[in-house]
Amino acid sequence: MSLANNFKWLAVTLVFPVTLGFLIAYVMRAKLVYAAAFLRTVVFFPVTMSLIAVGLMFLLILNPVFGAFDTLLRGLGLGFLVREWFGDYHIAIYTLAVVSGWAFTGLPMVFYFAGLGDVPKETFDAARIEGAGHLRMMWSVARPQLRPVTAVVVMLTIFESLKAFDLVAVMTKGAPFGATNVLGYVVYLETFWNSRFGYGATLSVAILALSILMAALVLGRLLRGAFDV
Amino acid sequence: MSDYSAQPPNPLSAALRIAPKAGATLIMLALAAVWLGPILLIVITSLKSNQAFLDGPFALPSPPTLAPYFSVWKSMNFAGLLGNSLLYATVGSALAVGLALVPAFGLSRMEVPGKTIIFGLLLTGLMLPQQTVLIPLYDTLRALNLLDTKLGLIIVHGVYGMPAQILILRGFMTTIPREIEKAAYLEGASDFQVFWKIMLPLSLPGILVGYTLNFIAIWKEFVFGLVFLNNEANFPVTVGMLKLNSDRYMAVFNLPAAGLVISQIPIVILFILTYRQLSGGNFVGAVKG
Repeated sequence: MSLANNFKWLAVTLVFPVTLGFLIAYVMRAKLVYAAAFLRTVVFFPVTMSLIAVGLMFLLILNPVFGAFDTLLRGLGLGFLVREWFGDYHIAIYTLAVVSGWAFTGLPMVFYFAGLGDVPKETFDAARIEGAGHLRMMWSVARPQLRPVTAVVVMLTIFESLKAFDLVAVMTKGAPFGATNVLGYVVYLETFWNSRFGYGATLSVAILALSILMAALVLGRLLRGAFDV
Repeated sequence: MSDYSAQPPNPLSAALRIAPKAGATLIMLALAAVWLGPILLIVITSLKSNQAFLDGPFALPSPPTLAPYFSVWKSMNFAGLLGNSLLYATVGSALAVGLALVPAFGLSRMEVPGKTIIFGLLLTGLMLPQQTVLIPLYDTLRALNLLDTKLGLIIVHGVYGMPAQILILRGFMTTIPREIEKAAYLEGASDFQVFWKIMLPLSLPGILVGYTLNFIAIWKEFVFGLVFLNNEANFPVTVGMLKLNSDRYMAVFNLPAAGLVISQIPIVILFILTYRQLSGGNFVGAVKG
């Protein structure tokens, strides 16, 4: 149950922050927009915020009665989208994962921004002369060149999702009915509330084994052929 | 390119040229609002009376009031919480960096037997989620009588941050040209003198980056403080803030919002001072190296 939740969490944080981070970094490097520095600052700032503060913030904003987000949806005529963001058994875990992604996006962005700076400018110029658009360059030039960066980013995302704890502790405490229990939170509950030290220790070893296994898989897949282009 | 297009300036073609960029900028600003919006909303809420909030969450506060800040500052002992967090972050990061200096020097410059294995083992420390070390650390702290003490938490933070600092510093030190030390060794300097008089001053930028990152990490840290501390007088701000999420505070929105803003002020100051270095990704090179 909580393992499945960890994987849902991982899936969301792999797709949303990593893709957006890459996109924003590319747009800034290619100088496609004005005020790129502003955007970078705004997206990066939440990385420095404590997740407790982030969690509290979204508790206020997604509050079912007074929350600004629901008010905004209704104001835009999208009232049918309003949900019990934390109360719905099927949605709560995704709400948490998206909030965690919100706070995390700045990190992939910074890694990709730095990585794109290392990609030789000539490769982009050559692609442009061949008539490639920006989408094409993102996919066929930037993406393969950035494989080592992607490996680092994906590993960070995996570790981040496996140790997810703070947001659960402040926002839902596993509710409703354990629908937002993640491994890291269960370890804490079992060990320090139910005093089942052995059970907690076993689970924490499982987390460690899982993170090492997944890191090895990712490194193997992403770095294969990364250096012999 | 510019040589060919040096025609007399034509306002229409200029407008056509910047149109796509302006359009993309608009989309990007909308995206930026996704990140800035919630934060601004909380700041606005924290400056309103509760009645003003109920009248409309998006309206600007008129007139803005600092009353929520005063009331939450008094009832939550924020001075103590922020002081604790500052203590943990400054001393804990200093400990992490201090512990990492010598190993980083050794791993980047000296021929140590089993260097790769040592480095690899230290790096696994990077992958350890806090939860996996909670139980052994809890036992160790209890055995040392350091459970629920500030010293205990500082030591935990220092040791937990050390592997990342070794990685950052080692990466930085390998970029320093070896010629300088070679000259020093020719002049008869000892290893220690090279380390102390040459490598340390030259590594200062790397040390500062590492220290800042560690400071932010400890400021955000929550699990260790939650598990190893019981006495409210020792709580860092992340743990103490949990009280904001109770019926007493959540019944009105402006109090938790104000508390939230207070808890982030020190990190905002640090962010303003260092964001050029951090958001430019200067530390990424250090990590990759």
